[in-house]
Amino acid sequence: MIWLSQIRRKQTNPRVPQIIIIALGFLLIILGKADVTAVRFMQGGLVEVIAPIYSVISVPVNSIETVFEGVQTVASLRSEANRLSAENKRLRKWQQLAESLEVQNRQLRTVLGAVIPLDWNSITARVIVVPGGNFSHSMIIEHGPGYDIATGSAVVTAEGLVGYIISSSQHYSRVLLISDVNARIPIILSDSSWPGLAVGKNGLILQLDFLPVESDPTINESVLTSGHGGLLPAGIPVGNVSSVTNETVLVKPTVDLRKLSFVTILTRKNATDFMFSPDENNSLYSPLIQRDSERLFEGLNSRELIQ
Amino acid sequence: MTRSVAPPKSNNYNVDFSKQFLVFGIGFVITLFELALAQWSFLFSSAPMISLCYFYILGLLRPKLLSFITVISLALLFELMGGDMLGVRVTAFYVVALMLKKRIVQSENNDFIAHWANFSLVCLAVVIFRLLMFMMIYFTQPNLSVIAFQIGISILVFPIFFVVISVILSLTGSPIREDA
Repeated sequence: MIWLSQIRRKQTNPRVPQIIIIALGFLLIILGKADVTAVRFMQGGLVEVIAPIYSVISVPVNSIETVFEGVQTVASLRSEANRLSAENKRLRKWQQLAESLEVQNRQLRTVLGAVIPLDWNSITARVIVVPGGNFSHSMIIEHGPGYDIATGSAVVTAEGLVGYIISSSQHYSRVLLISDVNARIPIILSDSSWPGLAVGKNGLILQLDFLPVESDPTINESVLTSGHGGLLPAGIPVGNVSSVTNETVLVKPTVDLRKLSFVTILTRKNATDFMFSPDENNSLYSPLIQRDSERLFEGLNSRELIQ
Repeated sequence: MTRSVAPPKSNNYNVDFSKQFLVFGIGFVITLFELALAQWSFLFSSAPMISLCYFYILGLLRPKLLSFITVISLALLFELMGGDMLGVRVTAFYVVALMLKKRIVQSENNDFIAHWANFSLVCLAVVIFRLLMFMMIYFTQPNLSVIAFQIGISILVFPIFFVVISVILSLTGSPIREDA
């Protein structure tokens, strides 16, 4: 009898379900990494259901923030008035300069025949979920129904690039921020036009990779999207060079990613889903020319051709 | 010759389902609130892990109310809504809940400071586990200062949650401590 009870005890080992659940957890990790379509759809569906509830729950959080901002504003009213009047004077000067430059720009366009990119639409969206942990820098935005937003569409503000769409559903989309470790933004340095890749570090600073050895980035030099690959429009400010060492070049984003309320999604008029249809993606740009003396990237050509 | 008699099986599942559902509902709101906290600029990407606080305190004070399904589903909800690595938080939270159920992280004299210290260790362990998984998956290292800030602020939030939940449990009229 004792022997039988021991066998029964072995048969109902309580650790088996615990091990199974932990194994399922690791299986989820692998599934998440594999980027399975079913998981993406599940995520999109869940966001559609939960996001309205979340909006209600986040109301008190926003209210508290508004109260704090109000108190801060009252406290610094005098200095704020002085700052605004100084800024107003400065802006008036800039306005005059901008008007003259606009005229000049229009004249130059007619001379040079520059092509204005007309094939982009803009959609305004409200930010509803921002990164809560440091292991993933993505956010959920609400753009409302009736938009066909392709994966890979750029998300910007007036200051510059915020990120790009990685999944989209009927009302909501998920944006991968430029600060995420998975974000790779093709860029050029504004002064020297050297190309590179801005890589997120899951912090508030980006790092420039694949920058040619000959490049000599300077502090505060602007970093713009290059448009290579056709995914993002060229010329959107990404950030300014904040640190240059022998090994790394760091960039501070022009957009303060911590203070996003509304963003603009840039979509092509003939939207192409870049990330889901590689065949269509490949048709949008030509491969690099396989010649030693010539390269396609801007900045590399001039010096090598001179040599 | 003595015959070994099996001890009477404790009735761990004799808990009203509605109470567990209420715990799930409150956890649901707390999880979304944790996501919402990141909207404050100084908590950007480092919102305190208040859902972990909630599970931990509930596991200490009322282990019968803390079901594994609640822990797993709410951790999964956070991962899906926050775009986090899938499964990492679920596994970490499940292990913490398991430890709480098995009374591995329990102080003998029910001292608050000991609970706080244990929570700090658990919090650190959870973040280190997530950090290791992140480094294994992406072969890179995230910004450690932000992670340290998140751990610190989570530890600071713990006493507030402990007091609030203790008061709520005492107001309901039942003893605060209820062993499994």
